[in-house]
Amino acid sequence: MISLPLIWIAFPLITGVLLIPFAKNRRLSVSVVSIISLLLTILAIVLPKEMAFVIFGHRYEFNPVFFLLGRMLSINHNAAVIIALLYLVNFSWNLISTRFKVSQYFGSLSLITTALWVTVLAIEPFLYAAVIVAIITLISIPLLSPRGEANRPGLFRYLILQLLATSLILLSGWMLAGIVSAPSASPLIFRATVMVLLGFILWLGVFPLNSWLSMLSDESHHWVVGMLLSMRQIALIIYFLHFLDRFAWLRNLPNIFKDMQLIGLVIIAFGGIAAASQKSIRRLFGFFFLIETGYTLLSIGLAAHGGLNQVAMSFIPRLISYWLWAFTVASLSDQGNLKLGYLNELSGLFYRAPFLASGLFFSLLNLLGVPLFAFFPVRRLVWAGVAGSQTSWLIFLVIGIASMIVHALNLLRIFIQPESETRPATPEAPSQKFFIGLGILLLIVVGIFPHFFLPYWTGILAPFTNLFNAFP
Amino acid sequence: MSQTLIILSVVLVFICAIVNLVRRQWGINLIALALQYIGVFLLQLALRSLMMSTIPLLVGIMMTITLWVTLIGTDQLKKPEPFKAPTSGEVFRAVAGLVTVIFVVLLVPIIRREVFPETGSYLLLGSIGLIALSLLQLGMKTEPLYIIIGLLSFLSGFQLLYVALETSALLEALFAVLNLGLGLTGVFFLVKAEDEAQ
Repeated sequence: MISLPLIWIAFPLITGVLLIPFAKNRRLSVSVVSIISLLLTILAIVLPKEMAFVIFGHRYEFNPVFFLLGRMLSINHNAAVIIALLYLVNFSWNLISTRFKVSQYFGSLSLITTALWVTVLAIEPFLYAAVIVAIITLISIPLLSPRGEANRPGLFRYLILQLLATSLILLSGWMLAGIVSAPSASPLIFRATVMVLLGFILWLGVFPLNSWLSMLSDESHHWVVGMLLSMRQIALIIYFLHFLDRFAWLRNLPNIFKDMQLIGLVIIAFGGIAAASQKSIRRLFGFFFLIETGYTLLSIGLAAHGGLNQVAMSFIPRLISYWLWAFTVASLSDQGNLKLGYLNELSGLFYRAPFLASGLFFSLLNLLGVPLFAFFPVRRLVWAGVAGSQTSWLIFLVIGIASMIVHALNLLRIFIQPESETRPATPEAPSQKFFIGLGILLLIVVGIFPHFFLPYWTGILAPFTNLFNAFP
Repeated sequence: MSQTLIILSVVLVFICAIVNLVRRQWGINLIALALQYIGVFLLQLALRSLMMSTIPLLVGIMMTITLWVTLIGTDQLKKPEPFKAPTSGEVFRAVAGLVTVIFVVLLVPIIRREVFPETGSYLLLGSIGLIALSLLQLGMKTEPLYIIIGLLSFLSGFQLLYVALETSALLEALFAVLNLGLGLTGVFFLVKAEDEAQ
């Protein structure tokens, strides 16, 4: 019997380490990583429920468990969808990474990072995953700030806050053990809740502890930031759902879901205002990440109104937007169009580089939830959920969305305004046009046919039976 | 293990953490870091077997030596001047450090009573003091080496607290990997800073 943790954790981890000496040959490293990521994605998608394949009359069974130093790594069929998503992210970011001026270790370290994120979701007791998140943070440092680039403050802030979060989650783990034996110990519940929530606030950069997000996206290469933050958001949201699923006391706390709705709405409003008032295009990704975290918290808060399905269905539309935004900003930076990263450096971009301008604009429209785009079907459900739950709180949503509309219109104005000085047209390579075109096409096709593309990903929620039973 | 040795270990840990907070001489800082690991090791001995306590000590000393060798290799290590007159910034940090120690000493009995009733007083004092002083260091300094020393100290204090609560071989291994990774990240930052200077 082949152990599944060996396939999805040990194999990519070892391959990633073995590829480090070949980092100078970026094509080789990235090709190997792309192929492995694609194969692991496909395996996760086609893995049958009985965890066995019959090939040419031979039955090959998979063992879901692997023991390590007395503890367990467990991957069952239910976890396959989230693993497929993580390796899909790695594949889509690695496939064209040789276009960009990123670290030579991008391929190998991204594979190691993906394998570690899978470990985070597979390790038992699952609270030990906090240390692995800290290790992932350390591994991401050479990618975010490779040799030849200055040490910047955002990187240090990221490092410090992530390690603080790890200690909070671990301590909460010890307290949780006490709660299991003393369910009515309310001070213990209060402390553990504060620690868990504060840990996740630091990990995900939730307002008001979000400064590292925009600093990091300003300082580091957008292609790297896009990949690392996308994976971080997916894995940590699922990890947070694990907490809610495993600990009845946490999900039964009075008003916990209402509070999550409110926190999500405040984040959406703050993120929208912050994005609208930004002059740097490079910092914007940090605010988009923040707004998306807000929408996710809001959806979890709306669990009683089907919000959990919306959490799962929003992963793909969000990833397409992140991918397209990261691709266009990274292309603009590497081509020398963004020397300081200010928005006004992009004036008249639509005439000079129509595909790059369109990529940015359509990506933003999708995040806004404009009809016909991939995010619209999911956003519509979330908006309706808020309206059906707390009408007075809609004001936060209105502020957030209105601010983003102002930002989108401002971006459009900058793109089409005539330039004061004539600048040469930015050459757009055919492959660049193809990838941006593909991204926009995906946004529209998923938006028009959401029922073909989105329901599969609700399988991510299969392991959370307790959470679902709480909201029949 | 005798009570006197435990108290001396706590004092050693506090002195080292305050030296790292106050002084900006890399040679002295790394020596203080190594001594701090020895203090933490002695405190851990009160709780765990010699073998388990030796793991964080070995990892810590190894990382300190790696940082030291990197500083020599990149020609960034200056001759230590332990008796140099303190600057106003150093005096300020020393006062802040002492206030923090007093605060921790006053707070630990309450924390012990409310949150960690099964943890020894001196162990709690050592770990929470180390955590508080390293957090102060992280908030007051921006140079890569001090940030890494601050994070290694923070992790050391946290590990000290956590071993009193839970023991697991896997967790110990993960902490060792985390410490090694942090040390190597420090080396990476130092090499980059030298590249930048050139």
